[in-house]
Amino acid sequence: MSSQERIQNTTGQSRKTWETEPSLLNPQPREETIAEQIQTETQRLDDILDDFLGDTVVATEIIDGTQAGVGFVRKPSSEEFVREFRQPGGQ
Amino acid sequence: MRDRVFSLETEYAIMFQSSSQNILKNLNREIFEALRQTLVEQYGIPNSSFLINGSKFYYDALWRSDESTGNIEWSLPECRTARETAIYDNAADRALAQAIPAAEQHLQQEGFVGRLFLIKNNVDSHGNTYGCHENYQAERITHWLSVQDHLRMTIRYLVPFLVTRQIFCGSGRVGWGKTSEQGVRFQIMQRADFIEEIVSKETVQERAIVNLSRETESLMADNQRHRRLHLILADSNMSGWATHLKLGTTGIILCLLEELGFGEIPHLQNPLQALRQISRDPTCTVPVLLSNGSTATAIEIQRLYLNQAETYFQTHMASSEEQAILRDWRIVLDQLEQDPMQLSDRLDWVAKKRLMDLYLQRQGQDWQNIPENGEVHYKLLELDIQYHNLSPQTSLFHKLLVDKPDTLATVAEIQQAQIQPPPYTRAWLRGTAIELARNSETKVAIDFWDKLKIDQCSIAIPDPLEFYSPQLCTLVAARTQPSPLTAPRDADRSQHRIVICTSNLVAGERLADALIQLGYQSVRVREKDSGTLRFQWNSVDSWMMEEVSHVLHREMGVLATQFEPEFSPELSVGSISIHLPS
Repeated sequence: MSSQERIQNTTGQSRKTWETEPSLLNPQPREETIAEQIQTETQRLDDILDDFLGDTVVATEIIDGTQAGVGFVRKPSSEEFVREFRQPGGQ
Repeated sequence: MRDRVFSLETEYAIMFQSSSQNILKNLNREIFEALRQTLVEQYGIPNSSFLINGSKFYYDALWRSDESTGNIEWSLPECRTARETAIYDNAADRALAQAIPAAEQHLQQEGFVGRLFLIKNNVDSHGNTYGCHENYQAERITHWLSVQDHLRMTIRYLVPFLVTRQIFCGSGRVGWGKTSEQGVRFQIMQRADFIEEIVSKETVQERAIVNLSRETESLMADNQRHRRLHLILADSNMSGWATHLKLGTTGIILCLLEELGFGEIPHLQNPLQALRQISRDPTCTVPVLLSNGSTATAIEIQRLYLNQAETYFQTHMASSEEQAILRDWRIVLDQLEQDPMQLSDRLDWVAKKRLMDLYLQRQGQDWQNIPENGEVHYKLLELDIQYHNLSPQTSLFHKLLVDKPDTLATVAEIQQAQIQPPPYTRAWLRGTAIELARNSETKVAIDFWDKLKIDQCSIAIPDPLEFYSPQLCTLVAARTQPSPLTAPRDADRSQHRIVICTSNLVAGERLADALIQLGYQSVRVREKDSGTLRFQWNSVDSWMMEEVSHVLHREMGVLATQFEPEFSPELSVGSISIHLPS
């Protein structure tokens, strides 16, 4: 299951629990929902960080008149990226 | 919200990653031209920097002798509210992000193959900064004070507010000092280390908390009465919610200043020192020294402003937007006091810091002991930059907040703002002229904010709050085809009751006659003391709007695109309002 599917599924479950929860007789589901939401959010952040740390190659489409293809650009290291991110300075 | 013009000017950072060698330098001018070509195709006209939604996209060269050292800049159209401005800001980001693939192809045709990044931040790690400037139309003359005294009071009350509002509108940054020379630590505000004066007229050096460089310019036709408050200290926000709160709270402060609505607000002993102290404290608990010898936190100072604003609005009517801003202002201060991390779905600096904290946790490190120029340091700096990437595929902001409910605006509203100007400022006239040029052979020239030219006819639009020009309507009507009548053959107009409310009874009667000739049997004209013409009806069919639009165009030279219907099916009654000359 991709991270996106996992997010959607978990979000769907949370919403369903929330809709059926407001009952004075059984307050327990609310706590479960909050815990579940925290877990979902933590997992989501983990996935985002994994994606950020994991990318090493970037694909870019090349269209040259009649020819089309896919070229690959090596993702620079963080140090290269930061050093090359130099702006002229503005206002 | 009080009648006021709001706007933002944002300088976007550029990075081009070449596929042949890593990153080429000095391509800023070429990249701007590639983006401009794409934006003109979608939203603009040749030979003008203005776009169909009233915005301006241009290249701001620092030195005329070197065109490569410049920034791409997007000035939003004149907006009427903070919310509208935040939506147009989001629309600008979206339009630029969507323009990147085509711009890459344009660059490729010029021999530059690679990947283009647009970054909406305010610093690089080499000590350079670039801005996001706020513009507010403000009163120069009040009933209470002289011009100079009012200006002094404005600066006096603005400084503590602007120094402390970063706790909800800072974008977050890795590094203390312009080049992190004071430590690899997190701070709330990107620009804090680049603000060096309390008041100045400079924008490239000696940047100040309160900038007076545009005092002689006006956002109103009458620059004796109104001034342009130009603030340059703030960070660019990715979060529309933060932009809204930044502009909205500042607008409320200006309102209280203009109405003498303030009580006592303490001086800061050293505003520049306080700006940095607050920026370097993500717990928002650091006390800063006040001129009376006591101390207060940024949250406490913001509460003083909020409390006085709430007191003011107990006796003055607040608009729905002002009510929303006051509510959000209180919520954000309460949550910052409890735990700033609660705001990770709304505030840029909190969202960014949360991800950085997670990264450090994985590395087994904390903010106190990060080795300079080590792998962790560079990873944090890259994460800092990539948060502000405009491309949804790579932007950490988009990944962090994309699934969160956006309480500010819908995607449809932002899409609309990409192609339509704000309806109640002169931006509407600018957008109408550009639309005319795009849809006809008409020659339209727009070089300035306050004038435009259609064929050989010049139209002055000095008042930013003016959104109707009879001269423009006449020119547009003469150069466009009215929409065809599309009523079905069996359309029954007899069931529709229409009331035309207008101060111009002659025009109203003329419209009524035209509608009656079409078959409407119940059309009344009611005198109304307003420059706005208003249609009211008991029910409406889809074809009816087009038909009324056609009549309006034919009789009054008013284009159908110049109004939005407001029809409420629940009430079976609706209306449209059109500003007309009396």
